[in-house]
Amino acid sequence: LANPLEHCAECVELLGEYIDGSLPKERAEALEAHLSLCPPCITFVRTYKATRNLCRHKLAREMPAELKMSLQLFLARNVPGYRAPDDESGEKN
Amino acid sequence: MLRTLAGLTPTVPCFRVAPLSMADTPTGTAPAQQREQEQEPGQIPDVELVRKAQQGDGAAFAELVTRHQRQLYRLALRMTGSEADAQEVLQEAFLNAYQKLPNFRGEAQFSSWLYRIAANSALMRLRRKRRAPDALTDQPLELQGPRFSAEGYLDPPPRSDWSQRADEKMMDRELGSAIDQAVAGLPDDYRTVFLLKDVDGLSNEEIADALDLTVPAVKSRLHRARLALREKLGEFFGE
Repeated sequence: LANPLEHCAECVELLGEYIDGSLPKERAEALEAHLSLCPPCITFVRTYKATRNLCRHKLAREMPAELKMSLQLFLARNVPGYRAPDDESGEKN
Repeated sequence: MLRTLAGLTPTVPCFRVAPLSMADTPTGTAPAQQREQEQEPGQIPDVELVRKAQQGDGAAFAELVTRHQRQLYRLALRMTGSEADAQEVLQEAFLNAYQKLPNFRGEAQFSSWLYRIAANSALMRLRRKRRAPDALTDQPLELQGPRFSAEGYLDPPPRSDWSQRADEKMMDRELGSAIDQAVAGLPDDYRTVFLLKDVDGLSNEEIADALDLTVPAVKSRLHRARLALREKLGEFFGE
């Protein structure tokens, strides 16, 4: 088992990379070991994640169809040979 | 004795208009070839469409537009904060990209190059509007975050786990306003990084390219923004 991080401050500092999955394995294990001993940090992690989820849910925006249309018209006027695709199946999310 | 989280007042300058070299290698990113492999299976790779577009194939350029317009829209919207400005930025960025396409040598990923063009366009627009050329640089920051005791423990510790209640309140209008307000209260570049990453799903590398930041700077801003927002939402939930 990894040695737990000693302080909550260290745990909080590493949280961003931890929940994004980019924290090196050894550090992640040390952080998890700290969490297993520290209920306040567990609560902190849960609410930190909830913050991200709530904001994502409330603030997500899709590109409006009218804007796609006006962009296509603009480019068709200004780019020689521009031909808008028949469908948008190639769109990246 | 209480102290705030170390490094909560960053000294790194905010994002700036990046010098746009057409043979640019983006800051802090994986090599273009490596990232090009992220192409969706079955799709013609960007690099091939670019080659065709460089030879005057308008349909290939249109395909590139279709492929990248949504992410570019999000970037423009997050940076300018306005639907109308985002539309202008998008038009300008794609037209600019078309005109500069002959100079694109494929040393950076096409999407990174495109993001950089759009980000520059958005920043120029912001600066023109504010009539303050350095409005986005070196803002003094004091972001709210958790507090710790001298021994490094959370002090005060979180009073309640509101994450469960957060799920239940997902559709709550007051919560929506609280989030809007909290996000609006973030400094510009922190807000932009947070929205691009956590709401729009861009990668750290894409954000770094677009905003001319290093990946560690993106990660740091993202984390500080999340901590500050968590504090605000905690207040909303009565923590």
